[in-house]
Amino acid sequence: MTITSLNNLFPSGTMTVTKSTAGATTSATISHSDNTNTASTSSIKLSTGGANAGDSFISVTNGVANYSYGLDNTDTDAFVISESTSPGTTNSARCDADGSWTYPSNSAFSVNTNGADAADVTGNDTIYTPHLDTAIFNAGADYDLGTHTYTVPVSGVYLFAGAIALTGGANLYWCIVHFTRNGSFVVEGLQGFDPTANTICANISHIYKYDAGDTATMSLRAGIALKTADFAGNVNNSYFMGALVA
Amino acid sequence: MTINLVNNKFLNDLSVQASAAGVARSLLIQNTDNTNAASHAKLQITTGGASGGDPYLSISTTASSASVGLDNSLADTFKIASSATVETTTNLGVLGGNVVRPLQPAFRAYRNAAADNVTGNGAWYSIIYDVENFDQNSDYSTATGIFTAPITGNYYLSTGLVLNGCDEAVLVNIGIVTTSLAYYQPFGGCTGGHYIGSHVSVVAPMTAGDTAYVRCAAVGEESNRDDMRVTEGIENFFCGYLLQ
Repeated sequence: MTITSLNNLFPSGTMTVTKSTAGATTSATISHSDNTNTASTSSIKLSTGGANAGDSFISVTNGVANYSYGLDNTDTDAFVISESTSPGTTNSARCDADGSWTYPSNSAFSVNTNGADAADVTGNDTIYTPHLDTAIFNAGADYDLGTHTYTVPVSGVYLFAGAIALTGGANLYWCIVHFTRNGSFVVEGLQGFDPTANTICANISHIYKYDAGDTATMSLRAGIALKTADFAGNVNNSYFMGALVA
Repeated sequence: MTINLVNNKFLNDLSVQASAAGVARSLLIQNTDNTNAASHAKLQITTGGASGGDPYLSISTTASSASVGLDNSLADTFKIASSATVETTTNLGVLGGNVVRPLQPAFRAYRNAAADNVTGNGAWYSIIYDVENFDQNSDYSTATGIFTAPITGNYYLSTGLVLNGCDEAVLVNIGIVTTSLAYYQPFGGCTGGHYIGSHVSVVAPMTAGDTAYVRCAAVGEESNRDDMRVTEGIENFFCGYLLQ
């Protein structure tokens, strides 16, 4: 038997609490029972030597997944939650010294057109799915540029925003932009117009709950005249974007 | 006295306890080297595998608890939970790199019941969205149409409006009205009994207890004869969430 604890210090630098009793919790408890003084705190402190040293962090693993959270010394001492055994590799959340939070691995996308117009797509209430096949960004690669479809990676609340522009229609009174969930419309943004106008547009943004695997698309339609309205391919007029927000 | 410490291993649970008033109690893991970037200070919590339990850090007072770690029973999701174990609640979860916050204040509601003759000749109509899609913190009322901010912060708020039956309206106005500021979007009218609509999205600073609701007005009709369009509940909606 080796006892290397001296005055409550473990000079070798490692202390382990271990057992393997099925159904029982292995615990290390820091407990303070006083309830009369606000300085009666209990804490676990992780401390490294300085700017040239390593990270202070907690690592949790169950043999399947590994996460760590703490201060990343090589990333301006940001507090991070990482999907790895040490901070800084595959960050899921990051809080910098100013207190700003970012979620670097969250699914998010923004797409617009390739600049090409599409002639005679609607005007008689025909539903048209525009070819939004140019990615501004596509974090998580969940938006398919070929099918113009976003597939939700995890269940949650998503923010979507989009806009469309049409030209060349005559006697149009309104146009609508829609967002879908699994093919069904869940929101529409409608704009009414002077029927003599040549260019018409619509836009909308909202949040909606999606389940993992659900799909989202954007489409449009305009009426109430002939199918002579053209989709405007100007990259600044028509776009679709979304992000996991809660 | 039973000594169960072998080779720096506690073969049973470890407990550091004290009751001295005003004195902090702590477990310190310290690495004083400042010459090597691999000189970490690390607390590792490990369980046995996919059929084992959860590795987590639990923090509690006698009044409340929080825990941080992996939930074995939910696809090994990393969680921050407002409970003594990670299996009870999920305030923040990380799965496949994506961060979700199932308890973050967020709501969406739409108008399902018919609302005819609500405006057209200048009458302001405060819209009550009577069906919720979701309301994660129960902050929206389908009875009043009012969202009440649960905590101080910046909120994303968005609404869409579609009216029908407009014959002579020369101006339509839609606005999100918060306690401190109203955000209006006036737009042109229409003729011929067709649809007219618009939408407003804002980031609004709100103090805990502040409220937000939506109202609209059309001007120019002979009477207040314009209707809310309520087809499948997708045109007229109100939604928002705590952004930061």
